[in-house]
Amino acid sequence: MISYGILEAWLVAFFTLAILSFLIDDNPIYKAAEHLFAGASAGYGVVIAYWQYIEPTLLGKLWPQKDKLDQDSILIDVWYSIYDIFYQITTLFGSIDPILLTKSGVAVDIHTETVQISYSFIVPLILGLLMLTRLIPKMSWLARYSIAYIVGVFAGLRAYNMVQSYILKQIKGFTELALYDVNQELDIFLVLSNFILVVGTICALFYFFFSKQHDGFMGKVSRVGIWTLMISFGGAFGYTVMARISLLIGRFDKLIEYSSSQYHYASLWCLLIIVVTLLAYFISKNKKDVKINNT
Amino acid sequence: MKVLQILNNIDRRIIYLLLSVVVMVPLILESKIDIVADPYSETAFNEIESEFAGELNKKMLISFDYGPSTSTEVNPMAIAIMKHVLITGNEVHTMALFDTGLAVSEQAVEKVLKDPQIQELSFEVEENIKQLGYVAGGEAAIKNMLKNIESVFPSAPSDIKSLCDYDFIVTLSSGTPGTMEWVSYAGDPSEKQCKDRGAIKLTTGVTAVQAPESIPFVGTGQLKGMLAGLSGASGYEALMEYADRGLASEKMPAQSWAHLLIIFLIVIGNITYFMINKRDSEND
Repeated sequence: MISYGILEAWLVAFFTLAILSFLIDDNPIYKAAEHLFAGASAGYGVVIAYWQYIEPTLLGKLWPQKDKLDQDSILIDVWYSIYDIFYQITTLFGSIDPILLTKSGVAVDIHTETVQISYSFIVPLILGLLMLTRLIPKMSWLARYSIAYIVGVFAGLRAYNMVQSYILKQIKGFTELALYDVNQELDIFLVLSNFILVVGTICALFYFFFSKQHDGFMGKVSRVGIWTLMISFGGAFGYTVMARISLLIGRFDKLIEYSSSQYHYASLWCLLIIVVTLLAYFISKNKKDVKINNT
Repeated sequence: MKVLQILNNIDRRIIYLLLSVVVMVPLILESKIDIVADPYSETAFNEIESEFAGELNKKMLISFDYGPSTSTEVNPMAIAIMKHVLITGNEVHTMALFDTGLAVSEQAVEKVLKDPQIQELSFEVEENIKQLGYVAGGEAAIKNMLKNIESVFPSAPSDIKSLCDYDFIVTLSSGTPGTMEWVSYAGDPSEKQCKDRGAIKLTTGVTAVQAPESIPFVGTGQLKGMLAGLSGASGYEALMEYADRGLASEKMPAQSWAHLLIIFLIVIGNITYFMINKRDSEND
């Protein structure tokens, strides 16, 4: 009997090895795995975005469950008739069970007894729909309004907070550098470390000051700045190597786990399948290349 | 000189093979090394310990801002921190700024609930875990949560009105939105926004790639410590006194051997490079 766990193990082992096969050379197994990964990721993203965000926080605000509304009017009936059209379409006019939308509004788990329609959410709905016009070449220019809105909002959002967190707080932190350890005794290592930090930062800033030629004293200071930058790049490179190795360990850890009898030696079988397929592929490719060269 | 030529022209596939062997052997042999926590992990641990140990009815929010691709590095942090808080009898709420973060958060919760240390507890731990879900919008979502959490998560517990109601926030991050956004839109503005209680305590667990850009925020106190990559996670496990069976700690021997190999290759590469250069200039 093949359980879900065993099937998962075989798929994980096969696709991990398929992706790693790129290290030998570009090949069809790698390409197939890459396309499948991209497709599955996009599909997963759409489903999660709908159920976790679009349905509760957009549709749920525009068309909350009708029987929970604290008011009733013809206008509301007209408003819900739009929802009903979408409901009919998503259920193929009653021929399939409702999945994407529920009848008479979206049921959202909220703490209040009654709910209100938030008409202001029409704006994000329209902007979201405009984004989809990218799929229609003749109308794709309409998407620019949504993109412009996003860029504008995020530029505004970021400007103030970036200055606060990245500049002002950092400068403030600079003025509060500690010289004493937890026992309030002068810590020579801390003093030296902070001295290097202060001198290095100032010199690195001097390096990016291009209004004056970098010679004489200025040249020496900017030289220290370059060294500071190189050391920080080295540190970042070291951390990056550490991260990539960790990811490799994670993959190998899974492959080792799935090579046990509990998973019917999934990793070993998949390795064999991939090696044989790649051998056949590269041999036939070689033969073709030789033929082309000969002709 | 022939050796120099050979070393200078090693096929990259041989290096891949060497690295694979160096990583696989310690994993297969299940070798162990002594783990010592770095100062950043220690700060994060001490801050969480002082906030939750001996207290009840406190709440931590953990944001899963990463996906399966970096779960090897970040998942052990999530599990260690969740265990730490749940053992004290306090609540953990989870959310995600990455769509794939939702799946990894569910996996992490599942793993924590199956942990023998958690199963030994006399109280119902599951009741202390609340999963809020995924939210799109990154910084905009965080900004809204600081004012009104229900506008972002309609199903948020009724006793949580905003981020100010959390005693501690942990962002487990592998990119954007992640640590920087939480610092800029929750941690720093909370000094003014959460008037009654002051700034929200914020810490982070990041992939090693992200560590250099997060370190300055630890120095200024904007972040209360930091767990950096697999080594940060293993340090936290050591402080939790379960390094012998921790998810990160068991991988550290492989990590250390791989680092040694890379250092060796860099040294060899540089020596051969300079020697060949010297020989060529002498010949000229």
